[in-house]
Amino acid sequence: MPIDDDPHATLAALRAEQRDLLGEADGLRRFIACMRSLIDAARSRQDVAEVYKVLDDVLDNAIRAVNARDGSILVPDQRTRELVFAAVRGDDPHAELLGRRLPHGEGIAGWVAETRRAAIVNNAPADDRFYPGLDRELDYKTHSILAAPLIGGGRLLGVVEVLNKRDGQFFSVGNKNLLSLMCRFAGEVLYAMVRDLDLSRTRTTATGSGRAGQPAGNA
Amino acid sequence: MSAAGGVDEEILALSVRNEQIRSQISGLREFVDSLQRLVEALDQSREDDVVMSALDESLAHAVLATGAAVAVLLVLDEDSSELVTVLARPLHEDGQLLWRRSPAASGFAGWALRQRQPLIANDARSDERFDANVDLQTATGVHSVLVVPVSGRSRTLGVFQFVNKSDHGMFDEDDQTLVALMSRFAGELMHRMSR
Repeated sequence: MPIDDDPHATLAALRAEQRDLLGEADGLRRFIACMRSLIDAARSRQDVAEVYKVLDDVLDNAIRAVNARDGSILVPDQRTRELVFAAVRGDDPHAELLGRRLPHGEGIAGWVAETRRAAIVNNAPADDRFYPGLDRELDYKTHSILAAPLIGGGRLLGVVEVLNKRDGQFFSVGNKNLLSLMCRFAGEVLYAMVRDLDLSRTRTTATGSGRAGQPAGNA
Repeated sequence: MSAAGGVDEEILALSVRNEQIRSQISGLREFVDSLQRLVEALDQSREDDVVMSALDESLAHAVLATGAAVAVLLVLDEDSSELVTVLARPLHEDGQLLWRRSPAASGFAGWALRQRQPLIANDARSDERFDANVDLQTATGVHSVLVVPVSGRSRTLGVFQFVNKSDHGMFDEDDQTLVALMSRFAGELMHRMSR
């Protein structure tokens, strides 16, 4: 980087650049850690508790890998075609979301579920697909969303949604690729673990941070 | 030292450090992006040769991300009980690595196939599984090896073999995880091609 007329400005810019680079390095390390835990999970026993642990781990790692504040995983109700919140994590996870249902096709998550494509939305309120109802209800402000489908065995198993990239930054294509890969791999692992369980009907009273029955807080 | 001299030195040090970090992460970032292109090609049911080309690209980026000197994809020929090299990076001008055949039961690759488990051998020549007749070697010999099986629908179809971490370094679990991720999608492709 050339040293311009204001060395202090150059110094500030270099420090900011280093923060961004270290953040990206940390995100890539999180990605590797997530992949490793998924590989381990693929060898583990198959029961509901382990499935939810995998979901929670994927969500935790997804939020941190792309440097977001909050996130959730929604799973489809095969009967009603609604999406149901099955995991919430982050700085302000709103545990009361667990078990809540999104109508079919509603919101960015609904679009991702319908199209089976990842989405980057860096100005959520301005996007036609954005569903503002939950923001109003929870007194939350969604600025940016990055979401990707969880697919396994050719089936849509859920949608991972991470919200509000930190430090006012935008989600990038690199972030999207990381999240998409995590979801793709996680989807195959989850499919192998529990093929026929309808997760939308089983998790409304889980325990632990970011879950129903506990105060919301940092994950 | 003047205050201005101090700031200039800090600018230089930060510039150098930032470049180091950038170079450390660029290989991994490019590998992730190439893997995503492979997954997209698989999911969009592209022609097998298109997907194979994407896998080849991922292998090239995996070599950079792990710092290996050379890496190959060995596919099991069940009829002859041999492993066949179908992809190799870097690809030598004479293509000598490609289509090489070796007994499926021998060496590190044979072990990984039988056990259906990955292995890291950072002192390869001292490892009892090493077979000088079959294990991939470079011009400088072999000192470290990483092997990861490739499976499709519960069948072991081949292995990825990475040789010689740069600067006589050691392959680690992070390297193994990256190759395991690539092998997962390679397994899907190979299963599809075998039907």
